[in-house]
Amino acid sequence: MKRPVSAFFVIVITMIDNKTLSDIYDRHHHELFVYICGFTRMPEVAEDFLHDAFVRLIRYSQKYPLDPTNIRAFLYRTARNICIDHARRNKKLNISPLEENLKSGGGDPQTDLELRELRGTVDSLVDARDQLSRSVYLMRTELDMPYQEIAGALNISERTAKRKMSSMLEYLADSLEKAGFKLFMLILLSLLAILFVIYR
Amino acid sequence: MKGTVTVKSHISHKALARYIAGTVKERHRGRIAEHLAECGRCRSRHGKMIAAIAPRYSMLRASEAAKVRVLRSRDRLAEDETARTPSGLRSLLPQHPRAVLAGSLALAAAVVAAAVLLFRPPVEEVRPYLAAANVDGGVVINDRPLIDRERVFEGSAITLPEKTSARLEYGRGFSITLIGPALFTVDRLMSRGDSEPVELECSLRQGILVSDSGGTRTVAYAYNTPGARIEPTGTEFLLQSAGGATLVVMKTGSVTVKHGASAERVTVAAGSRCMVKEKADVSKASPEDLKIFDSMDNLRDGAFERQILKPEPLVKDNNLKQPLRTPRPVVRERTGDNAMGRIQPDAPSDGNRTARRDTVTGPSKTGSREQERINKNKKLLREARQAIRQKRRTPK
Repeated sequence: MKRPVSAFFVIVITMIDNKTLSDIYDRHHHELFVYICGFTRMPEVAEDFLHDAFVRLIRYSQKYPLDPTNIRAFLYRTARNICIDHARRNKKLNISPLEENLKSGGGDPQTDLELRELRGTVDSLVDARDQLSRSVYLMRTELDMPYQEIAGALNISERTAKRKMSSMLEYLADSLEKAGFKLFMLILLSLLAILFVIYR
Repeated sequence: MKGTVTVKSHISHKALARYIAGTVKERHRGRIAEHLAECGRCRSRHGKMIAAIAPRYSMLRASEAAKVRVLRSRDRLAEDETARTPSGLRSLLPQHPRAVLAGSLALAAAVVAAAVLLFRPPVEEVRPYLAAANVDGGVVINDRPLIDRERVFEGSAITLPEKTSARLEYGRGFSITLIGPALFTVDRLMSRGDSEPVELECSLRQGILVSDSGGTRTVAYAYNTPGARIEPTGTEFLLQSAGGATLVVMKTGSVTVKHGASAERVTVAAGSRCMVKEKADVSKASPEDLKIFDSMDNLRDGAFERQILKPEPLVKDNNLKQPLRTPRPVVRERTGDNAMGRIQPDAPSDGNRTARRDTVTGPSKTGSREQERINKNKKLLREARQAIRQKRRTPK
């Protein structure tokens, strides 16, 4: 967070007050929570991380003056770092896929099952990508944020945000296509094996 | 767009991804939409992708307790901060971090500067010195043996017994070879700067020296004998002092010899010799005289008895610390009616020199005053002893 130049020598730093903190929380907590959920896929853990991110903001305000234009970027950056730290500490971060929270595919159990399998595949594919691509993907798909806002929140250029999103979707489309082909071939081979056993 | 958009061919992964991401160019967007409307397979792929990336967490909400926790954490941190608020100068740190940092750095710099100034090693005074070389056994400097490569500083007194020699060198070229029996003192040896020549003034109370400047001008030197003062100007010559007489034999260059008593100055050129007794006599040196310079060993062993004065045995001189200077020929009275009277000094004699000067001009130095006090005490003692002896002789 950049320090105002005018206050080079005399900077009066006061800890963020309750009202300001409450306003900031109200403004940013939902998108942050969803963003963290995209990483952790566990709402309880996401809530803890959200709390940690705001505590870091409070501690920062004890040492340095807050720049209102950068609070959002600070929170996103902090949340992402917390998620990365947690993922490093606990490799089994994505053990709960939040099945109960997923949208229903339309009532048809077969379709729901296929959709869940598809989302599971997408999750594993997304997890394999870098943190910045994941962040852009989550903000775009989950929060429907325009690229300009994504760029501001992640402190990257808009062009980079677009490139990351396109790259991620190309990768998903390609991987899903290949996964579908592999499944088709697997089923086909299984059928041939069954027929061979029956008619032998 | 590459590989994309004909109704007959299907939409590539890349184009589909960009279409969904919203980064496809505007002119392709309509055509892709048209194709999707017509092509069932591509529509299915598109639907599958949309379903795959559909938002899943946006409907989730953090609990109200989360906000309460955050606000409570803020209050707790505020309490901790109040408890840990520094007092005094430390309280300025959070408010004026840069000013405090700048002040701390300035203070540290001042402390370092003060430490450097206070604890820096003393600047070593480079005292000029003469280096002893080829020193024979028995040569003594300041009542201890002189050894090779020893440094001879100002105020040193060197005594050489019979048939001994020693050489004193300064830098490259300048050397003084002393031949015993001799008494030699270094009265002044000081440097006024790197670019200035070293000032050297020595006293040859008795004995022989051969001075060779070696053609260098790094040393401005002069010799005093009891009867003369020799001021060379870059030469090689022999100087002998014996029995109150001074002999100078010139090989190269020239010297100015100043008679001690009459203050008469004569210049002794190369190939000449000068004998200073009652007056300074300059004569042409014989070829035998100049052979003296060929071998210092022969000179030491007494091979040139006829060319030089007869060496006299060493006389113990207790006043070696006192520089040997030529007496002043003319001295103004400090007191008196006319105040312009001139006093002709007596014949130079080392023993009574100080006393005479003190009589004329008054004690000019602390050393002279001390000597006068000692003499006075001795005189009192002598008188007291005489009185005691007379008293004993007197019959009761």
